[in-house]
Amino acid sequence: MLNSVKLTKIDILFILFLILFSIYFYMHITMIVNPTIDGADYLLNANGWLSNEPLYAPFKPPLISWTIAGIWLITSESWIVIQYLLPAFTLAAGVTLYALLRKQKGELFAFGVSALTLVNQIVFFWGMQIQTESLSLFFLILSLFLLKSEKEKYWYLVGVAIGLTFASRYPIFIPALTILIAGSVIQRNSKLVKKAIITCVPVMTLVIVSIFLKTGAFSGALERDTQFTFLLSPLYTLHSVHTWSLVVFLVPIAFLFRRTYSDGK
Amino acid sequence: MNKLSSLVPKNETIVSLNHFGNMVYFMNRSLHFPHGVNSNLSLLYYMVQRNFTYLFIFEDFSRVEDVTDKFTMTGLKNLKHFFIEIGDYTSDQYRYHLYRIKNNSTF
Repeated sequence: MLNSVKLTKIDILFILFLILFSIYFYMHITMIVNPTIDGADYLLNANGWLSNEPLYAPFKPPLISWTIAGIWLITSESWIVIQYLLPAFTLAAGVTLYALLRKQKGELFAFGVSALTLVNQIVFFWGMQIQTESLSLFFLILSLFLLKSEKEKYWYLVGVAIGLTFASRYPIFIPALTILIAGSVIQRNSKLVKKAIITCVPVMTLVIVSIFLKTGAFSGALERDTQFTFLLSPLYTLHSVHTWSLVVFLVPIAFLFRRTYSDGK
Repeated sequence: MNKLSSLVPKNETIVSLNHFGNMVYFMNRSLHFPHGVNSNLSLLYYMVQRNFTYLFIFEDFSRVEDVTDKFTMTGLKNLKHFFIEIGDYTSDQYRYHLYRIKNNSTF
């Protein structure tokens, strides 16, 4: 599929950006002296999956620990190896986003959005840690990429990608599902949802059953973090600029010029 | 953390008011989380009673809210009445201190 793509000047510019960004990104990774507290939980969980030991943090999503365990089977146990390999998912997310938007909106738009996404401070910081952010971002964008594919056989893969998004970070399943529903409404195609569900449900079931078999229970979060209230939390409003940067102001302005959002396809 | 914990004899347990994955992963010693501790003195009492010698502190941070203020820079100075600092380390996120009970701290 990629063989037929002819590189334009902006494609080459994006590749150069990606190389420079990767150097800068990995320079920061070399300065990390130890994994975050959560990062260590995933390392311990990976140990748990590779041995008969119980999981240290059974409520944590398993895909990152399975990925770590898989890497350790090849390299032997080392958190440094994981520290360098896992952030590759952040770069892969940027490339996938570029490929998706290039097809839909053109190279310049794709370059702008992908570059701004990668340099976003939240994506940058958490993307270089042993955390679930990079993994879930990649699978979320991959879901969207496959959803936009015109080939029906890829719609089964949408379900797999959504299932893997769930396995990489449980709450990100909600935006993944929203993307699926919105995609099927825009394309007026209910077959898309059906095909995605056919593969998504088994993947999610596999994740839940695996954890249940290992720990005897399935819990998506600590009990103290799951208190439900009908009052909306002001957290994301108060920290909106910190979380989404200036995009939080730019999106409403973009909506004023709705033509910017017209989807060519 | 690995280097700090290596200052503790292998058969000794390290007491800490936090119990995080990075401690379990990097400290090759058994860890103990004390319960019912709400002051420096009660911590000391708890440790002496159970024959624990080593204390690991996250500066300015503790899961036991009552004692978090005890482990600020100023608070840590007060610990020196009962403990000797044998090591410290600054990571990306926290500053850690390792203490040993002074030999004369008995009840």
